Amino acid sequence: MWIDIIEVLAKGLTLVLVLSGCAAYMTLCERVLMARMQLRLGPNRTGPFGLFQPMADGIKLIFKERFQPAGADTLTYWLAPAIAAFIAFFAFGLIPFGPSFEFMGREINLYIADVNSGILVILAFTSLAVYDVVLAGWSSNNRYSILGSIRGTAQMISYEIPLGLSILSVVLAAGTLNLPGIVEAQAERWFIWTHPIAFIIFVICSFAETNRAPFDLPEAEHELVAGYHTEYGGLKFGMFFMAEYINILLVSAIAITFFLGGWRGPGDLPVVWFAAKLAVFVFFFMWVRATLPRVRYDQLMTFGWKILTPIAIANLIVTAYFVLV
Amino acid sequence: MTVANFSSQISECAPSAQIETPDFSKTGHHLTVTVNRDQIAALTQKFFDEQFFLESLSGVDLIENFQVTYHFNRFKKTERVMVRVQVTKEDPVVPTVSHIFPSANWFEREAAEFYGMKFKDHPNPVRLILPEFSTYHPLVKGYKDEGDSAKEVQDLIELEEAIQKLISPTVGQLQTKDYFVNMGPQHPSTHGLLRLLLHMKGERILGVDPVLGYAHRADEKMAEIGNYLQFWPNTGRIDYLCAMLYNWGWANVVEKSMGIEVPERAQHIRLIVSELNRIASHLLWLGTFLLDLGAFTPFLYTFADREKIVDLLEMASGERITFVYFTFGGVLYDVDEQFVIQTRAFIKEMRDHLKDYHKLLTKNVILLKRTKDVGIISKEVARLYGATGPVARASGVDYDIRKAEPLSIYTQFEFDVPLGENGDCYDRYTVRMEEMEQSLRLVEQALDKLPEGAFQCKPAPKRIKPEAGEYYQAIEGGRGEFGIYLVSDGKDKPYRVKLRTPCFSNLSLLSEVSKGLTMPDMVAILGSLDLVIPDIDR
Repeated sequence: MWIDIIEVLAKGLTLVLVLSGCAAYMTLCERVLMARMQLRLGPNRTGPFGLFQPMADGIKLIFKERFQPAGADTLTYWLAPAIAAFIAFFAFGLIPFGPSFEFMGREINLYIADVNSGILVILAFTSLAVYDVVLAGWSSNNRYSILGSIRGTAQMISYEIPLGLSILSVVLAAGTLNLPGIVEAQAERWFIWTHPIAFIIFVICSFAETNRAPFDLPEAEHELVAGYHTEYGGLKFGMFFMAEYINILLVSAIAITFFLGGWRGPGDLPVVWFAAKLAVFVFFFMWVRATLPRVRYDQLMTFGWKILTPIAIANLIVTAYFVLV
Repeated sequence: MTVANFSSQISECAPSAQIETPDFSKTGHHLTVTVNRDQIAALTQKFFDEQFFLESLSGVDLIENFQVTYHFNRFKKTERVMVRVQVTKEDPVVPTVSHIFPSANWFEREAAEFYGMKFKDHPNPVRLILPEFSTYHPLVKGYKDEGDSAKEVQDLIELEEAIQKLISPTVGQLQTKDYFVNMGPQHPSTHGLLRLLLHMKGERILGVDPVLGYAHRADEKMAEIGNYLQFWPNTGRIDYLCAMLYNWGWANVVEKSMGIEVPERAQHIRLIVSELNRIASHLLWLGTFLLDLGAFTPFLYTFADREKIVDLLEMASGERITFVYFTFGGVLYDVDEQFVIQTRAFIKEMRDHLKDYHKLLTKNVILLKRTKDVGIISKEVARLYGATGPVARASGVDYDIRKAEPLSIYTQFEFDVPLGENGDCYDRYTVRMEEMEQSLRLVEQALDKLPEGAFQCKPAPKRIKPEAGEYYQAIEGGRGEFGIYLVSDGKDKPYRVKLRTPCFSNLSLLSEVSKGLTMPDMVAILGSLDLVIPDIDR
């Protein structure tokens, strides 16, 4: 009993620390990568190769003034960034990073919670991410913020539908909602080969879900200054920032689990393979950001409802037919 | 119909008009007309029917009288008519022409606040560039800062409130459906101190009211205070992105008014640096336009290319942005062999890069979606608001001063004037992209022909004193027509300098084109207009 609790706590702590570190170094990674794509050098002054830059950034954010705009709703204004960070961390508890192994006579699983209907829990939690956008935009008493949060809400709700539908076709094929089970089902062949359309839809939707370019409308800099987090500074902004990067990791992890065989790969290097796939995905996210202009809000909605959703439904029906027959 | 036989028609609709035909090459006017104020509206209507556009409108303080000067011009081939209306200082009221040419709306507001004139039946007679409730009129001769008079301020406040009620009857009430957003003066996509008061409903824009004057530096007043030479640095700081061209504008008007001959070599050098500067300006526009559309990367590539031009211009002039390279009768320094070689190398490189830009951008689906059929400016709207430059040419208006005037030695070279069809943001994009190619062509030809000889006229003009009179000369700036209306009283200081800047007129049509569009469209339009804020506010 006690040993179980210790195990979960240890795994949870490790996860939070690793993820925070990942998010911090993703910012550095993104800055350097984008700089190299843009004829620049990027941060390279703080420490060797600029490696201490994230720490410097973090220290700067921590020591900034605690600022709150006039007319802001105090409770929700302070709550919103916490919600954002909490949800981003929480959903990671279900992702399997590798197979179970023996450690001091105990069988250790490389995930925190083994929920039967794991994917439903993840979807439920990512849906909750709308709340931090809404509350942040509404509570900061700024019109740019509220415009950003309205956009964000509409966008995230709309794109959850094709996202869910694309996952559903994989669930049909795997026959389970349990994430380790889905990885198990890809032992022979990854689902990306059998469900390419679902994979493409999932990737497009994941850009919209994480508010990344070219769908970064809720925080579109040249229209809404910074969107829903215009009025946030210091560590509060830092939490939004961290949540954004952890969300990128999360959707990448889900994509890997569902379509790219999870931790599977040649040789017996499960966690390494998982990390490598994750890195490729994250690189893709950054590459797209450096390449594409931003779409317009109404075009985004049209694309989601009139193109992606019908395709996702058709794809689901075809998959269901093949699974059934 | 030419301007020469137009004079009979003018006297028909304005019987008391005094018509003169000055020397065009010297003054820049084909006709000058002096009329009484009660006939100006009828005369303007006549110009409107004859497909003229209102080029500029300026006030002049003639000590005993005020004068309002209207410049009408026609697209395609310059046919400039200056119309003067004089009113006494006791009764400085002129009928408005803003119902005929909407471009007059802003011009008249500007003249009214700088001189204390009144334009009868003006739809929105509030301050444009000066602070909202200011009552001083700084361009009046002998102006001394005496502060605001309380009575006049009170009148202005009441006026403002009355107008606000007229524009939006719901002001002061709780608004649940529509709302106002201040875009600027500090906003990432206004690229300077421009404030747009957006009246919005959700994401849709119901109305736009640009609020100007945050970067107003009174360049026109400074011109009157200093002598002709002392105005040089100002020309490079009005549109700081094509300072060379604005240098040329000032050189042009003074040289023509005094009949200074510019040597061939100097003319070639002027053309080369000006066209290079135009490319630099368009490159910066390309980067920021795409930045506004959310693509961050092109910005840095265009800046890298622009950097090379800036280096070249530094070789020639010693400066990098706010050039003061021109002088009356030539340029300040000669260019050397190294400049020619490096410019040739740059042209070759730039052609390749332009191909890359086309490959990456011109067919990009998201760019097409964002710019096609967005912010359509029709030919007629361009004429009504006096839009010029790439903005007007994208609407199919064939008006390029390099062809229409003709200016300097441009007639000796081959180049095309690219035109658009729809007048949407995409056309403005393609027109500017094409203009860069044409500028490269011009530079290449000028380098081939670059003659030996003097780069300044000899002897250099010692005393810059144009004869008393009124002059108007325009050049094709990077954003459109930059015109200078110079009134000289024969002394060593300009009596009045009116700077007719392209961005001022191009921005005035914003409220016309942006109704019913969304916020992101607004940003796209602003980007495609290519505004430089000091160029608007001066």
